[in-house]
Amino acid sequence: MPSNVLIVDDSRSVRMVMRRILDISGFALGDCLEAADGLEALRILMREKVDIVVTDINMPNMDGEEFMQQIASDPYLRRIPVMVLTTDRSEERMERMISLGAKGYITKPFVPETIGAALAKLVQESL
Amino acid sequence: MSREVDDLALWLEDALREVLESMCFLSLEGSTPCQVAASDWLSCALQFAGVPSGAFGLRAPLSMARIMAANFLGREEAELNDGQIMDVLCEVANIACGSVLARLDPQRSFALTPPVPGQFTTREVWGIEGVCRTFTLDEGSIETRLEIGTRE
Repeated sequence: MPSNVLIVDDSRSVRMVMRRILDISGFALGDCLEAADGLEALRILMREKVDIVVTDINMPNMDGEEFMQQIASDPYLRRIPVMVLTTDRSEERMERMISLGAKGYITKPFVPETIGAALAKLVQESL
Repeated sequence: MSREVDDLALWLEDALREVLESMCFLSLEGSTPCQVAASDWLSCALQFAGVPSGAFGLRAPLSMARIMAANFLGREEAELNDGQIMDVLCEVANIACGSVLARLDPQRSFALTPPVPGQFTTREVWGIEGVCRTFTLDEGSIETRLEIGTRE
């Protein structure tokens, strides 16, 4: 069954690349939604059916960490699996994001093949 | 160069090589200390806060930036507009900076500001350690600058 994916990143280029990767990776993609920060992403989550969220951390307005805190505090939203896609490779940050409920953590630069596979694994685990 | 500056130069090269090879499918050939860049080069800079704090800048001629953007986005060069080219340059700077910081301290996280187009050095004076390198590729040149300070 196709999954609706929300990509949250302040870089239009990364959102475009992610969309292209999802298109060609063989991942069963439904709707691909985009947000430039956590605030915009929360608004989308309130009105759209989203199966997976992929979020950056360093973003204006609401960063990925605060966004994850908001998701974790909502009984409905916290059921949506979230994968973090970030330039931050520190163990400190990764542990913090995992403790907030992130189900995956991929660092940039990334190999495109890893994205589709990681998302497919998330879908499988959430069934 | 001092030992620390040697390390910074090496980390800068490793980080840029990693980003360009994996995200832009480009290979570095070699590097030299920065020269005076032409005024029409595109540039982008960001700051990071942590231990240590500092700034990172990246610049390239338009032709080089266009190739980077086309490869990054998987599009034809002719399809790209100026905004897309600058956006990719800034994202490459962002990723390369993150990659350098992971080498500086793999344990602790740093707070990065959004990349600012049109800058190469920041207005802040960090001035403790700094390195600026010009990297050559078959397709052209790219310059990066890393400034390290002590403030948090």
